[in-house]
Amino acid sequence: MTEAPPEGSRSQDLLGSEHDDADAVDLQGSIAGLANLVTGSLGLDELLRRVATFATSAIPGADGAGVTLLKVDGSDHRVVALAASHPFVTEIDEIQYITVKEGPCITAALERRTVRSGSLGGERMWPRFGPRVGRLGVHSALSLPLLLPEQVIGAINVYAHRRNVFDEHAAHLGELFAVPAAVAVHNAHVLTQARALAAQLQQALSTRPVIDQAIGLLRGRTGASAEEAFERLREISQSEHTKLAELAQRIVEDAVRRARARRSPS
Amino acid sequence: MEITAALAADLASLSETLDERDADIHEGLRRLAADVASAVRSYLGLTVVADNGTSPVRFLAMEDSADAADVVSSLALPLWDESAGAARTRVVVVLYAGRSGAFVDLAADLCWLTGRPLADFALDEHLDLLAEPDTDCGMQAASAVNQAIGVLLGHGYTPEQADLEIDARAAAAGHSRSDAADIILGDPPSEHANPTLRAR
Repeated sequence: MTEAPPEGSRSQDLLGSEHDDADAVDLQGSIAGLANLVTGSLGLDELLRRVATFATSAIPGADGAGVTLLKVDGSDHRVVALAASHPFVTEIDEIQYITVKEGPCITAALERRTVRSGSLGGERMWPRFGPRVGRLGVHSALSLPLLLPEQVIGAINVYAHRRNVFDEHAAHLGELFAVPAAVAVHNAHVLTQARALAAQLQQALSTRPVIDQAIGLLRGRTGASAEEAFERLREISQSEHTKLAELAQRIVEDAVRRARARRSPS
Repeated sequence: MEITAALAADLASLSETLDERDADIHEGLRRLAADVASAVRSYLGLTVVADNGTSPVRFLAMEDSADAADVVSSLALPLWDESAGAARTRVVVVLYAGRSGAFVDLAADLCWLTGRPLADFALDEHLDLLAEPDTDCGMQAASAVNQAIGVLLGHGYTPEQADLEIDARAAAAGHSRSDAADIILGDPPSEHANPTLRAR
């Protein structure tokens, strides 16, 4: 990412030449996938889903994974976006973020550290989350914070049905995967924010002229100020359940029709 | 992020036209700036240019206490969809940073994300934007002209006649179109009856 080496060299730096086992091959393949997955204008949600899928491949023993973007503010958090590689992960996400508001992702993001559990049903860290997920037949969890230099932007949550699946080696591979994943996810988020801003500006600037003309019409008829005329338009729009721009367009078109009718020879 | 009170008012005015509860362009701008600052440590600010072909709008939002003189690199993000057609407003966000090469990796990632060629994300080609004065983003002037057109429409002018009338008044008084529009908006309503209608 940002002010860091390019993707390819990043992954090589992370892996080193001695990691020549199957896990490292899986990890390298997944990181290479991260570098390529974005080709072709992916939306943020689809990118998150693919990162989750790559995480499942990268981390030995994983049966599924989810990626969550969080707005972390002090001890509080808000889910900005999330995606899952498998349906059972979606079910777990709902328990974690909606039902009990506790779990490995929230802990990993708030405490900026990797957390893992090999027996969720009896996990003391999450007394409400653990038993519920255990009853679904999911017993192991590994959560990796997505870290930027000065903030945490979310977490990758990896799950397995068997007990004690994620050892230190799996956690280490996960942390290696999380570094470029955080970059890819955050840059996608930057792009999403920029596109949202552009879309709002495009819409506002395309409708503002006709709204201003309607304001002018009301000002010319009533002597009202621009603010008063705008407020009047808004009141009419709300009472008629009509979009402001559509109402303004109708008012202007009426005036133009009348002007043309008066000009045309009869 | 620092913006002038006038720009804040313009952005609030634009947000009001969106018909979306909680739509807040100022907040969207602030969030984008914060996210870029997380991605690029030497980030200093941004310029937004929105061009609909008739009344382009441009505004600058620098980080708190950042100085334009410290900017040494820029990255332009083209944010319009070519398939939407030429009539669509073209929005470009230009990011600034205080470190040379600061945007190289972000540009590469955005190139992947969008599927656009890397050449679309111009690096260090928009530093001159900072040298231009940024006292007025252009929205107030465009707004005044359109409101004046509305006043004239209400008095029997067609849109074409209204446009010509504003041009004529501006030329006669040696004013800009927006100055002429302000005068129309300040006049009593009876001042603007269409002379071609009065003659009949």
